[in-house]
Amino acid sequence: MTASDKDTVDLDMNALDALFVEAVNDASTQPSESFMARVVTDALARQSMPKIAPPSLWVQITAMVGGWQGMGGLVAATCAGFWIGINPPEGLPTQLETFLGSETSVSLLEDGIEDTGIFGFGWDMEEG
Amino acid sequence: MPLDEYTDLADDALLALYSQGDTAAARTLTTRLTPRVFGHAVRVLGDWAEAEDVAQDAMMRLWKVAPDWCMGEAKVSTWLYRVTVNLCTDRLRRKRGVGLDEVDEPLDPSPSVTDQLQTRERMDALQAGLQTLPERQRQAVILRHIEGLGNPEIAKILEISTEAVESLTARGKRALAQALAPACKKLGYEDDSI
Repeated sequence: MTASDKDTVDLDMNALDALFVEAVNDASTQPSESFMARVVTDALARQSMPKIAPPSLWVQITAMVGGWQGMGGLVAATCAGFWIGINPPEGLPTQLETFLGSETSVSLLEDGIEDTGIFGFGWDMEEG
Repeated sequence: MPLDEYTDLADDALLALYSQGDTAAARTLTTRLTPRVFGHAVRVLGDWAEAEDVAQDAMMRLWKVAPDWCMGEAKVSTWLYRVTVNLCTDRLRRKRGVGLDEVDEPLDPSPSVTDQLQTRERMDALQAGLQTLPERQRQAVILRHIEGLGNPEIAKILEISTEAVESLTARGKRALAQALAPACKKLGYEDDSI
């Protein structure tokens, strides 16, 4: 690049830079008063809108189980289960029987006979 | 708080005040940020009505995000410029119907630049020249040379690297000089090149 070429390039960029400086101060790209007023109106309107607070933990939990109806059902089922647990109705197998899988048995012998051990209950168990 | 004290507050502090219901903060932010957003949009789009739509939309998004704004995490003006840039890009895409990246450079000097030029209207010539640039170059040149932002901030706005910004602005400036060359005499420059 010769010295004269460089001068030309510098002049080009300088001229362009001068245009940019003019552009910075160019009033024609400024927004109108009415437009600015519109933006302020938007801002104030948005500001006056009621804020939506995030839902509380309780509301989130009730929503998870299906709202108040779901929560009501859940509470009723819990109470019923608790009551049955402490005061089971007659004929309902105890928890232990349910766990062991035993069924209702009927003794065909007279009361007290099995206590003598003559039937070798323990031996039967060992035989498997 | 007296109104003149608002001028010393940073944008994010004003935004926090705005979200607490401070109307003066709303006015100060509007006065401070809207001209920048509108100026950028009008230069990129070359259409005042569309620029107003974009600027209004960008500012509305700012008002909406205000309650969730995290102080000190991001610069409000950078965020707002990014929103504006994206809104402008969307508008230009819809207008053209082609991918912006498909527009190649360099551009031939457009005869329309000289046609549109009026003797006193250097700014019109500049605007017309800017319109000949590919969209990304145009945005970068405007942000760098007219809005006066630094390359790192432009990189954040355009979501590219600082090196890419340097490349975009350099190529954009060269292409702009080329586009304006035919209008050089009308622009008032003695030699035939700008």
